[in-house]
Amino acid sequence: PPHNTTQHNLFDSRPLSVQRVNPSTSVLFCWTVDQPATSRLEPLCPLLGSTLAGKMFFHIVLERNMQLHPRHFGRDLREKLVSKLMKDVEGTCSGRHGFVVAITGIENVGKGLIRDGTGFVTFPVKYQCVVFRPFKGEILEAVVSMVNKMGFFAEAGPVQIFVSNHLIPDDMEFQSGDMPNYTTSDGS
Amino acid sequence: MSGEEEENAAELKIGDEFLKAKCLMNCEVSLILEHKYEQLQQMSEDPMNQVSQVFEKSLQYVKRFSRYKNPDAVRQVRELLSRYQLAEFELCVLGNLCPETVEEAIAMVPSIKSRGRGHDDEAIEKMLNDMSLIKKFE
Repeated sequence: PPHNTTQHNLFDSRPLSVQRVNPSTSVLFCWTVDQPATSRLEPLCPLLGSTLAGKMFFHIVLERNMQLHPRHFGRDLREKLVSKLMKDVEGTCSGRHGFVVAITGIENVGKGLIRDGTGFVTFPVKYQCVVFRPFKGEILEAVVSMVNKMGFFAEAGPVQIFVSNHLIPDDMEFQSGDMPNYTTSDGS
Repeated sequence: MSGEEEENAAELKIGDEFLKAKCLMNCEVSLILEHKYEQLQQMSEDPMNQVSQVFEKSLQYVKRFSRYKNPDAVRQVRELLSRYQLAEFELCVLGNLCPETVEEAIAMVPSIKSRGRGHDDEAIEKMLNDMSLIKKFE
């Protein structure tokens, strides 16, 4: 079945693999959750057609409605809006956009709308940012952070990954010791 | 779980923002984040306190996995790859992974060979050679 083939390719084929999984080595990952979606991606979506894609960082424009208390109105209104935006949004993660890593610029601040009853004003702000958004079926590089007999942990940017030993090919065995690792039977 | 199904890329239900988005290579992200970090350093003495963990980890990650460090080289790679008719994601994969041979390139991005876009082996090889020249002289 395609699912197993994809996982197998991860550890078998060159150049997209590493045979030994040590802490701090880098491993190329196929980002599958429960479905492979690899063969289906190609005909369906020209943008995401290639499944072998390390294309997780995007530069996109997002919009957010920022509420500001009247005490901030004055000369620094725009600066205060921008710094509140950065505090609110940078470092967050949503299912839709992934992780917002950094805001790179403000495109537009719309007209403020006073909210009835409270005096707060809502400004629609359009901003550009770098997001980390992996898609199903993508392949990306990760750094192994910990190895134990349950499997290993790896990090790809802000994303934490756990590969359980059930998903590790049978010919890789766990070796405990000073530097725990998984090694293939031919010792590579 | 039903929330996640809305964003399932395989079903084409990705946010509209991504259809118009620009893909960034790791080296480009590295330049952007480093620049931002320097700006923060100028404004306060302890920038590490101000940035989120997401920022720190992403910066570490792209620094480690960038093939090109020099800003000019990064610009040249983007210009070079833009000359070939590649989709955004194809460009980023090639820029990120820097294949050395044509076979590697086709294994990484099978779609460059298909769809009759006239990317024959010679053109691909020239592109890869140019990329490695940029790396050599960066």
